[in-house]
Formats: sequence, C-alpha cells, structure tokens
Amino acid sequence: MGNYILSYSKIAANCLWHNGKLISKSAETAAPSTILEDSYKSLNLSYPKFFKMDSLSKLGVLCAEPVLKDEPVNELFAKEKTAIVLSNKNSSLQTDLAYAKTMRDFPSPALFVYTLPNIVTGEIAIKHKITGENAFFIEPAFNAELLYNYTEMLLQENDAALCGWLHIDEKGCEGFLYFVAKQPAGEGKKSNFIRHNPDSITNLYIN
Amino acid sequence: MENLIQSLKVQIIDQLNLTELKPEDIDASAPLFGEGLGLDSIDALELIVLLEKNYGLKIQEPKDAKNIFQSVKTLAEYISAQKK
Repeated sequence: MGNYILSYSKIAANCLWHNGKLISKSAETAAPSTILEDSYKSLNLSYPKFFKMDSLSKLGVLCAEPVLKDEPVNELFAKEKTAIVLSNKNSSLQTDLAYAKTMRDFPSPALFVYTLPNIVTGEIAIKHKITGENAFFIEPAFNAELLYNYTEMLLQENDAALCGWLHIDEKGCEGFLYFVAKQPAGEGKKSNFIRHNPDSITNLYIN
Repeated sequence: MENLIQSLKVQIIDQLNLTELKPEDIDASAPLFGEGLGLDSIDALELIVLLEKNYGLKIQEPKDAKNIFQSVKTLAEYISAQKK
C-alpha cells in the first residue's frame, strides 16, 4: 500500500487554487502583499495574528488553510502524527533584509522573530495544532525528489505530512502545499487521491 | 491627554501591524495584554521600541512596565508625566 496526496493548494500567478479549483484571483499587477490579502479574504479567515506575520509565514498559512481544512485531512489524521516538510530557495531573505534595515535605527523585535525560514512551519503548526516533526530545506529550485524521499522516510513513523514549496520576494510569490498520508482516508474517495511519487508532485507543481 | 491617546492608538496599530483595527476600535482603558487587544511578549518589546523611538523614553525600572503597559490610557499618563 503506497502513500497518497489527498489535498493540495497553490498560490501562483495572482491566484489561489485548492485541488485545482480557483479560490481567489487578484489583479494581474497585484503586489505579493495584495495577493496574500486577497487570499486571506477569500478564505474567510479571522486570525488576527496573520497580520503580524512576515510574508513567508502568511504565504504558508494561506496555502495550508484549505488543505488542512479539507474533509479527509481535517477529520482523519492525528495532529501529533502529522509532519511538516517545506522548502524554498531564499530562506527568510526578504524578512532578513527588512530586519537589517531596522538595525540602522531601532531593531524590530517583531521582524527579528521571523528571521528564520522554519518559523512558517511553526505558524502552521500552531494554527492547526500539529505537533509532528518538521523540516525546512533550502534548495536552488523546487525539488520533488528531495521532498518525496524525505517524506517517505518520515511516513515510516508518521501518519501524514504537509509538504511543499514557499517562495516569496519583492517581485512575486509562489506557494505549493500538499498533504500526503499513509493510506487513502475512505475507500469511497480513493479515486480522487493521487499516488505520492516525484512525477505526481512535479505535475501538481507545474500545472 | 485625549490627543496623546489618539496618537498612541494610531502608533500602536502601525508599530504592531494591527492592520485589521481602527483607532476607534481600541478602548483606551482596556487591557493591552491578555484580554482587550490580546498583545504578546513580542508586542511588549515593540511598545518599548515605540516609546523610545517616538518619545525618547526608556523605562528605567522593569517592574514599572506592568503598570505602564496596562492600557493605552496608562501609557499616555506615563508619557505625559515624563514630559513634565
């Protein structure tokens, strides 16, 4: 019995998608901050802490929301046996630079706490009460092989994992998260699930 | 004092990124931490930065901070007293 991708989301090209369905669309010229704000509104979130987060954390929390609230994911998997495996190429560079700017005057504690890439894993974990292990990889580009291999290893001792890629800079943002589980959660929905392998991950990321 | 309270509300919203709030949403007498605005320890550090940056004030006695940061009103009273 293999592992399956049960749900996935994307923020790319000014849009938020969940399982291939359009959730939110911003103007073509929208800045990353506007895209994140539009996505927040479209998801009907009421989470004041969101506004204090750095952009990378906002991107992660927004991509995670529809995936982790998805029916089989939300209902059937133990939060203490769910892992988080994320990646990007810039680490927390955007926030690091913003913090460095404040150091000339008054260093900002609120920015300082976001000067690590894995803070976003913590923000997702706090919001959804996930207590499994987590990892954040810095890679030159999206690396499906790495995510697949590491997640498969984790799934030997965990039930499920939220995985993906979260990139944001001043020009744009690209988020892609997917939920992998040991086995399909409900035979009736089996046909909707996608086999977990590097090709399927790459296909979901590209398309 | 009322002008100072209004300015503080605007500065707090800006400094703490409380973008979902308007100044009129903040009750000047409500607790800043726990209930009320529900600020956390990082926000407390940001308020210390705000005091120093905007008013040139440093809290000398850490034990006084709890009373000073009780509410927007107590913060305004502290600033006002220090300026005299």
